Amino acid sequence: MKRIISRILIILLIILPTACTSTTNKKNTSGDVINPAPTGEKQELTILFDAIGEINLWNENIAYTNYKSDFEKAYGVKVKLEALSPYTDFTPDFYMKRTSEYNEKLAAKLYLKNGPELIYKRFFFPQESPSIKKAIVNVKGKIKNLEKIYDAFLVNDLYYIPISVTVPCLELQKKVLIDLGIKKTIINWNKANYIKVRKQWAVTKPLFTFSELTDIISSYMDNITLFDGNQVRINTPEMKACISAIRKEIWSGNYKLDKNYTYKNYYNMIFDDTSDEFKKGMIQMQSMEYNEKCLFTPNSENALNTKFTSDRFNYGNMLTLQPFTIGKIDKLYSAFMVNKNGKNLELAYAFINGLLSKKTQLAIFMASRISESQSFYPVSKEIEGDIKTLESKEKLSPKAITLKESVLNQIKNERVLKPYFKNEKEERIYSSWYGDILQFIFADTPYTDAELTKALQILEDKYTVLLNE
Amino acid sequence: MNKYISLKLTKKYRTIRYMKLNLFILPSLIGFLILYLVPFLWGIKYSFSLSGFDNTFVGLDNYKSLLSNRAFHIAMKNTAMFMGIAIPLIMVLSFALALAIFEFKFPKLIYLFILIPMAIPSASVVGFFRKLMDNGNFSLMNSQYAMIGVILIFIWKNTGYNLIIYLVGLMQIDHSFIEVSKLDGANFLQILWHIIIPLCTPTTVFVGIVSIVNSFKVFKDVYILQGNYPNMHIYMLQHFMNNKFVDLEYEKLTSAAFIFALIIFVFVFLLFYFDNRYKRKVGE
Repeated sequence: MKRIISRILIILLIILPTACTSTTNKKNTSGDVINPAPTGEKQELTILFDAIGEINLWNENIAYTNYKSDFEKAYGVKVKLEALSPYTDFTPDFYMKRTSEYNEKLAAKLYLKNGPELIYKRFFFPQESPSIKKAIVNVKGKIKNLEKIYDAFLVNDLYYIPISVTVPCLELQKKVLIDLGIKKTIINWNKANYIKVRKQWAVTKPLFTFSELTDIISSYMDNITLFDGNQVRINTPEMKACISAIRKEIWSGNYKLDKNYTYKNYYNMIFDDTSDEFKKGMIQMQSMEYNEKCLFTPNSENALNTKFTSDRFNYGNMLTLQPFTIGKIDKLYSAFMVNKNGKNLELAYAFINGLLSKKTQLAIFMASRISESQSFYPVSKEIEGDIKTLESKEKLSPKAITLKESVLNQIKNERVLKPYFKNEKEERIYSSWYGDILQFIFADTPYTDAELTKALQILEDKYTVLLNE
Repeated sequence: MNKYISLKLTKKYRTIRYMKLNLFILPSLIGFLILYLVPFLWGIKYSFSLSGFDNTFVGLDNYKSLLSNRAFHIAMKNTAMFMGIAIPLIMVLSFALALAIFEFKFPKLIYLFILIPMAIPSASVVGFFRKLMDNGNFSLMNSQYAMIGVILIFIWKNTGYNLIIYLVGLMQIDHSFIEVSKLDGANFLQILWHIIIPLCTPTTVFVGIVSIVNSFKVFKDVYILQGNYPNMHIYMLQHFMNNKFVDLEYEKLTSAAFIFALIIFVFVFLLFYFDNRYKRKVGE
């Protein structure tokens, strides 16, 4: 018996390492697919996508839906859209749960040897986990029309293939600014300019909703670098000063705060859209008092969409680039990833190639003129001239053109699109810290320096381990 | 001739008996092979692959990256510290308690109290220790001494089990050795050192292995207490592996598991080595 078992073990040990070689697609040493070889039968191209509730993010853009049906006709194939783990709320708990659920579902799909070909990502979604990244193709040099996109996208390896770009701008209420004696805003405001105006505005005793809260937190916190190589830096004098400054501004007596609110209420107000606090905040934001007095509108326009920014400049609000979020938003564009184990990779490359063609990119631009919800800007530098010609016929505000040129130059100079986070873990830590900071801001009695040092050190250690894992 | 037939029959009987015995073990052996050994060995494939999604052979890259991973270093250091302190401590403590019960003939009810911690669900254990170790001003589990808390939980939960094994071991000792040594004028400490401890060596080896196995289970309590990213001082190898599993980094997970298994094998091998040495010594 002993001999039999030992023989079985030896055979297993010999067989297992040989199983390490792939049996399906032939790959070179870099792991890229060389010969995907589509089959002769009626083919299917599958696109996995993120979904918010029941909304199909692909169908929100008319240019995308039209392209899909054109592609199906031209290639005689079926393009199948499949949603993964829809977002139902945006609490950190749900976010973490959903992230792991999404990763598991995506992984299960990517494990299949003849799996889906493409994964579509919207601009605000997080980076993929390192394991998922190993399942996607570096497409640099594999798709012809990639050479037509802005060079800023092509600096490093290309795992996320950009299709369109969105850069939200800061939209300030003209009436409120005039009341404050500010006659004009400057495109490319810096943070100090903005905070100064906000403090001036706060004296008018505005309502305090999650919009103001997140604005105050991010305007101070985004100035601080959390990462120093492999070390997370939270327990620092800068962070303590930041917490203190946020507390000071919120409790300055200017904002109309609910006296009965504790840390838990404020936490719910921001993150739990099923809570009473959140609902109350929403009602406040829809009120006449809030809308007349608020400094900025939360749903701002794409700075690259001159059609709608021009309307704002001419008839409505003052716009400027968001002085504090640029550089922190990692995904300002909608993009595709190609699955290494996808069934019809040649078809997937053809699909993306078509999306980056002059015709489709122009269609994306034209769709952005129809409605604000389709406010995607093309990524192809090839059509810049065509866009200028089309815009010149639209009698746009010169300010809108200046704003767009400013953002476009930043894109070209790799300033806007350069990822702020090096990897998904940094992004995860940043999001988590955003929730953690609330316990210090809304503590009933402020933390003493010793207490704060201790609490921040615990978080710093925790995040450092996460970062280094 | 008759002698030859009788020998042949005896041999045949032995073979049948041997086969019968093996048949009894077979279900357990098959289960062990399918559910433990084969998946464990299958992990070799992952540990030499680019990722779970891509079987490209990468040699020792995963092991190299793991050995330069800071979180892995912290996890290894904490696990080694925990095992290095908790396992000898629980063995000494359970042996001392078993000896006391054995010598002083405590009532049987005491066994029940000692075994109860094993039957209590982890959530209740954690709830109890959370209250015990956090007085509002000072939280042991959030301090740099958190490892003490983990060792306490481990000892509290597992001493009873080890104690029972030691009690059985003590009961199996031939008392004539002790009686003779008493007649020769040996005192209690001399009897303990020269007779009881050496004769308990096989039990000690077994308790050692059981303690190593049980030491992995403390992760469950720490996980309930502090989640998947606990205080840095109690971040164990199981946290690392569990997080790698959640992140679907199977290549790192399996590499870590093999490194860990190798260390455990060395540990167990040393225990058996000392067991054999004692056996020889007792034999002499």
